[in-house]
Amino acid sequence: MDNRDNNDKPGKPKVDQPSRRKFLINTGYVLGGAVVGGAIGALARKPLAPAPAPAKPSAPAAAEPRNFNRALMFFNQEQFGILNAAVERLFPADENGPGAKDLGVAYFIDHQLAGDYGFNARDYMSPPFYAGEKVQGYQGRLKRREIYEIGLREMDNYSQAQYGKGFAQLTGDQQDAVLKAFESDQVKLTTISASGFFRQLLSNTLEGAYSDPLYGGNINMAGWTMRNYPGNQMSYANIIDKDFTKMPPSSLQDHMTAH
Amino acid sequence: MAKTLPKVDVVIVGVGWGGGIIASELTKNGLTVVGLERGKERKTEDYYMVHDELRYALRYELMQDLSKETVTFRSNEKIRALPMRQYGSFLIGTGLGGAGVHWNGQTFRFLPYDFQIRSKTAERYGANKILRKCRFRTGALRTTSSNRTTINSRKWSAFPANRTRLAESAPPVTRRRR
Repeated sequence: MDNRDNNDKPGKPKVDQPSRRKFLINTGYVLGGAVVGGAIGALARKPLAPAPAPAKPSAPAAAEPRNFNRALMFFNQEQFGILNAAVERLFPADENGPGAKDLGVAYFIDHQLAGDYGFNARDYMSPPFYAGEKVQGYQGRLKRREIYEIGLREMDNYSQAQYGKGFAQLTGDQQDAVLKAFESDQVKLTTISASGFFRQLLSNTLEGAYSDPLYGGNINMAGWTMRNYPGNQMSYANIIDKDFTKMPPSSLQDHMTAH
Repeated sequence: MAKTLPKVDVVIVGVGWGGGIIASELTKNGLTVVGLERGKERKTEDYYMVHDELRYALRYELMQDLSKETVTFRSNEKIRALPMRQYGSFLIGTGLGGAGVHWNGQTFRFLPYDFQIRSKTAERYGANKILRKCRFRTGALRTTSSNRTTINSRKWSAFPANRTRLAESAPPVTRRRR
């Protein structure tokens, strides 16, 4: 989660190649597998489904509780479909584990934009507005939720202009081409910076994959499990003198019963 | 109506590591010190959910709400100074405890070698390599006979934590996470 907002340097490492996570050892992939494991193989190389609705396991396990967090606070169905397709290209499912779709990244972004983050509530957003030097950071008047609305619409417009279809209906390669055109500012927009939007999207995608499941992404800590990351353990005091220890991850919710 | 409080010798605005040490030294010398802090008081119990990277490291929960107050800055006098609208290069803390609370650096456990540097150096290079009069000044400030306090900024910066602070107040060039 290093690159996390609009003002980062351009030329971030490309994360849209499935091979990027090859180095990860996928040994501890247990928790997420129970939920989404069946869908991974099918999703990995298939063109993305056009339906905006999230992929749902057709036959959920009998004891699987419903997750009432899977609903929209901000986006409409069409925007959500575009976003869900885009984040899956940035963070695709592959042999290492689930992708952004299965991790609930688009829900994470939706929920973030619905609250103070989307309204830039803790940022200084008062006039006057002047274009600044790069080192002076974001100087725009648009809020993050507005940037997302514009960015997603422009991604769809560009897809229509290039391929005659909406972004969510494109093949994976075509979607990559659209995302790259935004990343490299080949797309010229008047309202927002295309590359700035891309970096925002990429940062929020990584946040959704790796932040605590409390926020709606990283479902079942599958993002952490994939990387053998232990989550937030209360203490390592009992193992700090020992050899490398693998442990199941712990979430903030686990602290609620830790008294 | 402004309320008039009893006069004191020294008022310190911001009692983090810097102001805290100053207050400590001044009171040792018999002065009465009042420290002013803004923001809320925080206790250990308030950090039950502290292992939340998104909330603290990425959304800057412990830092000042920039919508209320921020700073303007520029890299040189030829460009227009503009407000820092979002956090990036440097962070402005808030709340009781200052950087002693929200400092997110890491202090590593000392290694065995750290306690043997002198003897190991002498062993390998000879005792002559060690300067005789090399002493660390731990006093960040000196109190003069008239009880006026001066801070020697060069000595002050010898503290690693204060070096971080000095670096923070320099014009930001790149967006780095500390």
